[in-house]
Amino acid sequence: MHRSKAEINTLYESRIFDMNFRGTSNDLSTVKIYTNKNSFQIEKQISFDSEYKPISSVEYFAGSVLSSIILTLLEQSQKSGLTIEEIEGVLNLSLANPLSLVGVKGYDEEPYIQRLTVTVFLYVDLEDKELNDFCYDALKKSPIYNTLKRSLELEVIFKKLL
Amino acid sequence: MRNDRINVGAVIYDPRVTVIWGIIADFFKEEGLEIECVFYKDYEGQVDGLMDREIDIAWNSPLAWLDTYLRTDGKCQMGSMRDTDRDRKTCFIVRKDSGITGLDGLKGKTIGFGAVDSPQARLIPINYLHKNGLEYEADYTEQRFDIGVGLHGDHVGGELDAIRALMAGTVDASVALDLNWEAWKKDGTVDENQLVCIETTPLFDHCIFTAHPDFSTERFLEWQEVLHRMDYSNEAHKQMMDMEGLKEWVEGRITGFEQLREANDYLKFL
Repeated sequence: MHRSKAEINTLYESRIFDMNFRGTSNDLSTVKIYTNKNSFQIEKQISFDSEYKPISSVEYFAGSVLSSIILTLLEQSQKSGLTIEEIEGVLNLSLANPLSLVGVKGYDEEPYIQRLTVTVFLYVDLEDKELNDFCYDALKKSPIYNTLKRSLELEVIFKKLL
Repeated sequence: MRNDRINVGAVIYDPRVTVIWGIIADFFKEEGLEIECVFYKDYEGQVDGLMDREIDIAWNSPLAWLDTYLRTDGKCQMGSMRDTDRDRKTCFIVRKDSGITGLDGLKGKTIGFGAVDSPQARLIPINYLHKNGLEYEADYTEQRFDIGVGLHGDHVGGELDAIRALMAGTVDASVALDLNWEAWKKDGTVDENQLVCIETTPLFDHCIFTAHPDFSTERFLEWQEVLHRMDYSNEAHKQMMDMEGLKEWVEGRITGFEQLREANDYLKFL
């Protein structure tokens, strides 16, 4: 029996991968997030204190974006047989309306992440155009990048290490 | 510990400044006197808040102190200030090659000022020019750099843009608080070989805690007694004091606001 490709792809599991996470707050102050085989604790959404050590929600978010972009490049390089010899990235995040977040009277606008700029520095033995093509193709395999590019200003810049 | 918290107001334009107030609140709590920090976007809102008794004490700019003083018919209570709030002055700065050596050389020239409501970078220097025979809107052209209006010159941006305009040659002189002028020379923002301060205003004072007339004087004194327990030699206090730019809280005084009062009368600002 021959089934069409379209028929196979109507299966929900083929199109969507669901993941569930549980978060608890036993002390009604901090949140514990459970992953598949692990957990982590978050105390604050964001901290404006440069001395604050724990990882905030926004920092996890930024780390998630940056790691996803670097990892997609590494994964795709392995798949295509390319060797990335060095790679490093910098993420700049702009939070709009931070004063609403700290309760300054007169500021009511919703705080939100307005812009993310990611600069990736990498060394790989490719000419400029080939490198660019590889990087932007690899980016297409980052679910986090593909999601965020639809909802905020997200720029990714690739710079070749010399 | 008494349950009735004292509500203290502060104007915030950078979320990082709330960290300083968090440390201050923790310090007061440890000393057995709880405070609640209430943040405002500008000084007008804060003075409104003080008048409406949303807050008991306000950390006021000099102009906000004057606004409170006028609105309460002089009955508001004067509190402490930072050691660095005392005896400030404004510098009149020109390019060395301009040939201008004194205030009389500014006649007919364009002067760069800070924000419209900046005591140190607009109101006080305009009054000083007036006292030296240069009338506002007559003897020189004002070019204002209105950064952070409502913050009474707390944001350095207006003064910085004014001195940048001086360096770029679009104004003939600019004004800046002495602390900023000194800091810019030190960090290389300005080139000392190119610019020179030709005159300074007499000394004036800057920020001050101000309490509502009906707030218990006894409580205000108790609060200030705790405030003055902050000790720069204590490492935990030092961090906050460095962030807030002081080494010691000192007794407040209003004599240092005389030039601002004159400026307000001259310009009919408030």
